[in-house]
Amino acid sequence: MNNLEKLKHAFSEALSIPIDQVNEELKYQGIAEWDSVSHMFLVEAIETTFNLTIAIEDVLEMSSFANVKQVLTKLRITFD
Amino acid sequence: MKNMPHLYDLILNNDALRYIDSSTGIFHTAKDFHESLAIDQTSGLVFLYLDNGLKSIEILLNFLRTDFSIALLSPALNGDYKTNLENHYRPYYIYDPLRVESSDYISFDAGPAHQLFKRKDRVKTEVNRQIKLLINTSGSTGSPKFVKLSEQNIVSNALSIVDYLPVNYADVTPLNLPLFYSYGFSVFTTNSIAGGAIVCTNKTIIEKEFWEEFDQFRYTSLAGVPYVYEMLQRIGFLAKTYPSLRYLTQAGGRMNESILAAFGQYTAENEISFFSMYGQTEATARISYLPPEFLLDKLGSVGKPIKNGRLDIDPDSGELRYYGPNIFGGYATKAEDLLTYQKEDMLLTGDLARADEDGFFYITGRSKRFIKLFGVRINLDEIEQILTEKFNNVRFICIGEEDKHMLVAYTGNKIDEKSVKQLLFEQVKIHPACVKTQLLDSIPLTPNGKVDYMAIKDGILV
Repeated sequence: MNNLEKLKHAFSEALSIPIDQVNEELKYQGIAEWDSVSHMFLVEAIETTFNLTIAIEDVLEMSSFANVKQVLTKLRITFD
Repeated sequence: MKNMPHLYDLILNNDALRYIDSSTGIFHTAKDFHESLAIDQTSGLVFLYLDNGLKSIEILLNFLRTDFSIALLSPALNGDYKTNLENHYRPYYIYDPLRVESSDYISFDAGPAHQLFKRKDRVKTEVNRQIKLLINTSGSTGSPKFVKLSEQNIVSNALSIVDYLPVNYADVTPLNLPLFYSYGFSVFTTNSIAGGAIVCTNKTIIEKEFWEEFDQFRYTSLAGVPYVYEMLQRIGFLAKTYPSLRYLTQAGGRMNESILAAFGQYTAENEISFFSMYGQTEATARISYLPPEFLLDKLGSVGKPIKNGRLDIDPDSGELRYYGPNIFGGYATKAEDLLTYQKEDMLLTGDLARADEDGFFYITGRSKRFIKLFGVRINLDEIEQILTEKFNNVRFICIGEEDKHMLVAYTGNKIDEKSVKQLLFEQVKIHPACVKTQLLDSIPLTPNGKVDYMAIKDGILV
């Protein structure tokens, strides 16, 4: 699995949505499944998947799929 | 108690009150909203699907003034659920910002940009005149169960809360809990009666914009269920200081004691008051609170009853009992239930408790089969029923584990854990990560033939 697939998998698991619903347009509170409760599961799932710790400021930045990718890119996870 | 003022009049008489729109900073007084919408002068039932925006507040205030009975509902409920509920209860008006049309209803503008739905036929649902408010306690699906509350319930509880919380005219309070939730509604009522500025926002604490608004408006208090405090800790709240912040409130379930202690320590060092509170929708919202100065000494205690309330413990069962003017008038699970409002003198809380030598109460467990996950109350018997309907030839036993997880134990055919999680997520919005399943050879029973929940729990946890 490449990093993009891994990330999509983490989203799908944490938000309990089919993997084909995970796309670039996905936003926090944009779908019923991505609420404040599942958000914390998402943070955890991403930390576990990529074996890293997301800093406090970055948690607040993770408001869309695209923003999550940006945060991870900063942490040297590459998406090609 | 006979001459208790109306909530609406108390709000209208608060000259310091301002409702601020968080995104534009525009504010309105309650007087600005007085009769601002064109609503028929009659009584009956209305359904308000409220978010926490300024428009929701205007709609709510306009209906609070009338003789209508108001059902508070979440706009996020799914469409079929809303329609079923409306077909059954036939509300006279509906406010729902998420729909543009609804069958059996005519859409019209009650104000410049305030679309309401009005029922086409003139069939009116009869509602007992004492019922002012209906709050749904059954989560997002399953059979809706409304708690019937009177004007007196609401006003007496709000005044009891104002008696111990340091609410004042200089406050700037965000509406950071849903209005359709009894705790969120109590933040609205108490601050509307005795507070200053109320910031109407749909931002949540895990969004950067919420903290920008915090700095912009200089919030003086925050309210949260235990889960909110866990998130606050995770996002580094305790590592910073907030000069404007005067007090924090917590209710809606038991908080993990180490997190409570961390907040206790932090608030003591930063001269912030932390109010750990206890209540139920059946008591309008609030039953008891722990005065901040006792937070660390009496860690985990639900404190003492609010003004005009009383608590004791059933000597036989150990169940905590509450007495007070804020006890509800019964449940409504169908339209006919709206014909009655029967207030009891005593509320059986369903919680087991003890009191210490200083009269502080501590919850030790639950006698009813309820758990709370993320502040949402879940009836375990209902979950068992949902599962039984879906899976044939399987017997289910659901057990809560410290309000963190739900164990689904079962006997019969082996089933896929994923399908259980999926079903519970779709039907009752229980997050899959909170669910554990376990196949049992047989269901252990106690000597008198009842399901031995403790044995199942111990067996699974080992």
